Amino acid sequence: MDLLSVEKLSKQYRKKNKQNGFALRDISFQIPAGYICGYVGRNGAGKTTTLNAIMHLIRMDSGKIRINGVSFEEDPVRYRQQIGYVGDSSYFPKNFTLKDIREILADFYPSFEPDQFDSLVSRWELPGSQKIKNYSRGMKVKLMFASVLSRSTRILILDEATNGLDPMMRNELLSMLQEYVEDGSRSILFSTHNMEDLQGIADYIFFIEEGRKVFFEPKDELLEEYLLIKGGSDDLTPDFSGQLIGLQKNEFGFSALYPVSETVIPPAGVLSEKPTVDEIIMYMLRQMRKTV
Amino acid sequence: MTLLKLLKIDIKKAGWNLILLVTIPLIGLAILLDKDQGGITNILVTMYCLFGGIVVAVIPFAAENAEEAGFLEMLPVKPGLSVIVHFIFSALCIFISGGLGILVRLAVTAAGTSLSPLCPEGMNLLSIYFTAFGAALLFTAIDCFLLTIFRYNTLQILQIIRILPAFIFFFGGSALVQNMETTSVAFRLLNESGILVFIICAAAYAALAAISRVIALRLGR
Repeated sequence: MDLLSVEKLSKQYRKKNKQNGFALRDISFQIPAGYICGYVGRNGAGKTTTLNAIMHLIRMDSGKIRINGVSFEEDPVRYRQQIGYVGDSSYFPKNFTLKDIREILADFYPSFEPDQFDSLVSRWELPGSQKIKNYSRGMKVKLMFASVLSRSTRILILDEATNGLDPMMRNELLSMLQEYVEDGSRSILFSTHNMEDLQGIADYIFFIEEGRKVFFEPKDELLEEYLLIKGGSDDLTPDFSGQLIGLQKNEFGFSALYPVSETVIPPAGVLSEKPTVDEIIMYMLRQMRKTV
Repeated sequence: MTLLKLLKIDIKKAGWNLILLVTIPLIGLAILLDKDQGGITNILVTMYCLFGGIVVAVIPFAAENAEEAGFLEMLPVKPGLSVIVHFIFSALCIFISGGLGILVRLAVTAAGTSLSPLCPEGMNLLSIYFTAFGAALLFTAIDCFLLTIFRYNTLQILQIIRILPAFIFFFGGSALVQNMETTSVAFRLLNESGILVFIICAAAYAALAAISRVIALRLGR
């Protein structure tokens, strides 16, 4: 069974100041247990809206979401207990202290482990009696992680959660995230602009643009589907250039994404290499802008 | 049990503001001792204490902005329960602030300190207290209701919504009490039907709590 199942999620925001309201349209995907899904897209594409919908912090116009087979409408308490959420900005009341957060976690989450929480807090040197509003950005993110990793959850939802962390902390967290899914019963939905994070740990990639799904695929298959090719201007025959994605020309030649499944073989002088995830996305975005 | 846990959170959110529930009655008593103008002063001081109660009562609604509400909104509780607990906290603030005001006044009277009567001649003190508490509950409910609807608006709008009902209650109520004709309908209502007024206001409080819960669920973000 899929651990997270999202079906035809749609949300229309009202128009403001003569601008068209933003819309999320028919977003569907499933994450099996034991996997990490990277959720990527430009600023304003709809990533946070999708995650807020899964968290039930906003009302959707239509769609169904299930976590471990449970929907929010059926059992809101169990639904929320299964989720651990970390955002890029602190969601704690600013006048609370770490001790207040610890107490609330113990009150509301039966699976909360105070020793695990204390261990993480101590390891990351978070001050116990200082108000959260006086924490640095990195400390707030660490506190959010401490609060979700010290209780039993089935899915972690991370919204730009590694932003602002130093490289050592980021590496440590990425290792912890991999350990989190190792037992095969838990999953992670990870929205980030940092493609290096996803390249290393993601199993699936969901790419969203203007509120619509562009693709949702296993990362390894995605990387096998394309080649990044570079060549001289003379290599751009009409047949060949028609198959390229995100073609970018300059005075020295061109670069583009080439779908491996295409029948026209690239000319002999063209260089090809395996693209990274962010290169695939970048060229696709370029292609979309051309077709608009 | 979940109700009590959520109430604990509201008390934490109120923080040092809870001291106002004690300090305002003491300030009221100081006014009474200093500027005692007969039984009307005692009623005005009680209203002043209730005014303080209204100001503190709406803190759980006003203390959150969109980002900081996240942790508490994500808690695994039935949707809308936190709104009901906010209303319970608010009602407790009203009763504590008003009750403390009355207790302090009675304690001083019992100690033999020379003070004017508790109310002007011809007025029914118990009825007046019931009316005052009922009105305070009603204004608090209106305040909480408006803060539920406009919760994620700008800080300036929230500040106005937070303070305005309390000021209307205190200054409007004071003007009414001081300028009322003893033959008027308002006087008879205040003097004779206080319990009925309280019951109606309490029912309105409960109704607005239920409506606010529904609105909070529907609004989402």
